Amino acid sequence: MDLVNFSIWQARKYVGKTDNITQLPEGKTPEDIAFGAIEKVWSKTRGWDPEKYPDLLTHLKWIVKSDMQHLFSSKRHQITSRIPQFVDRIENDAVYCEMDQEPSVEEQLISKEKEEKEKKLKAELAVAVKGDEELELLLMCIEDGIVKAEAIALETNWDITRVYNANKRFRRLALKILNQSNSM
Amino acid sequence: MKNKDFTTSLYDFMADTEGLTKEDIISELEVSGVDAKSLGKKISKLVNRCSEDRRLAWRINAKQKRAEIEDLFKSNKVTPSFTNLKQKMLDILSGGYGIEASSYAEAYFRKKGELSEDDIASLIKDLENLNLLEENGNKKE
Repeated sequence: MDLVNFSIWQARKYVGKTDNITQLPEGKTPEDIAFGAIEKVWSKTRGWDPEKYPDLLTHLKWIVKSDMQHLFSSKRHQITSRIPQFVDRIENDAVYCEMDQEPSVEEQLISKEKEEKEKKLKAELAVAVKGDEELELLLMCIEDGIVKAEAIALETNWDITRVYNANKRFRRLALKILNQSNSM
Repeated sequence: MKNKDFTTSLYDFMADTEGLTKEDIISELEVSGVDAKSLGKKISKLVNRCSEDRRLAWRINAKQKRAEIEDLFKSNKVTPSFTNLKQKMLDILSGGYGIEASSYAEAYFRKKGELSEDDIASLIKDLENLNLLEENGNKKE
């Protein structure tokens, strides 16, 4: 379950706002990627050295992360490999070179949309945690890239139980906001 | 410290379930549209299937290795005068003295291209020193 949860959040990194989280390239789901990782280790398609990596779950997460990256990069490759054919048709080498160096209009739009989405998400979370000192501090940690419970405990000087409790409250809020924004 | 965008940080935070109970995770998965009950069943089905595949793969592999070793015995590379030792080795390899002795012998023969009487006698001595034959031999008796 932990692995499926991890897979979902890895998928969210790649899936756009309008896309369905359960429908990844090649018709796969985050569950499929998680199960695939288990199967690969079990069938020894992907190696696992228990002495080097004693925590199997961490190893499986690494495989999920890598497979997810591969799934989306091969999708991107399919899209970009179609561009030269289109450019060939309009017979304009200059345009082709330009596209190679600078982001295309579509890419710029995607990047702008991503920035706006991120801004909106930050603003919504800031409103949701306002007045709750613990959650405000937690949000600041996440903004600074401090996401592991131990690192948060070090940063805030809280004991680990306090971090866990604050994390749970923050997760509930974040999940609600993320699901609302994804369903819009 | 900051070297990734906010969304990536947030998703990394959400992906880390440290400190959450099983119930917390189930509830979050359900919010994300995953049926946690069927998930458990799917995982156990997957593990059963993989275990079966692995078991069969091990058997196929062992069978192949055994055949290779038996071929080696049949070939001229083994001196035909020590039939008793050969028979004892075949018994060991076929698992008659337990899986530990069989695995040890297989590993030993994998390293050898040719076999001499000394090789086999030395292997049997090793197995006896390791108590791998004595125990199983006693059980057989």
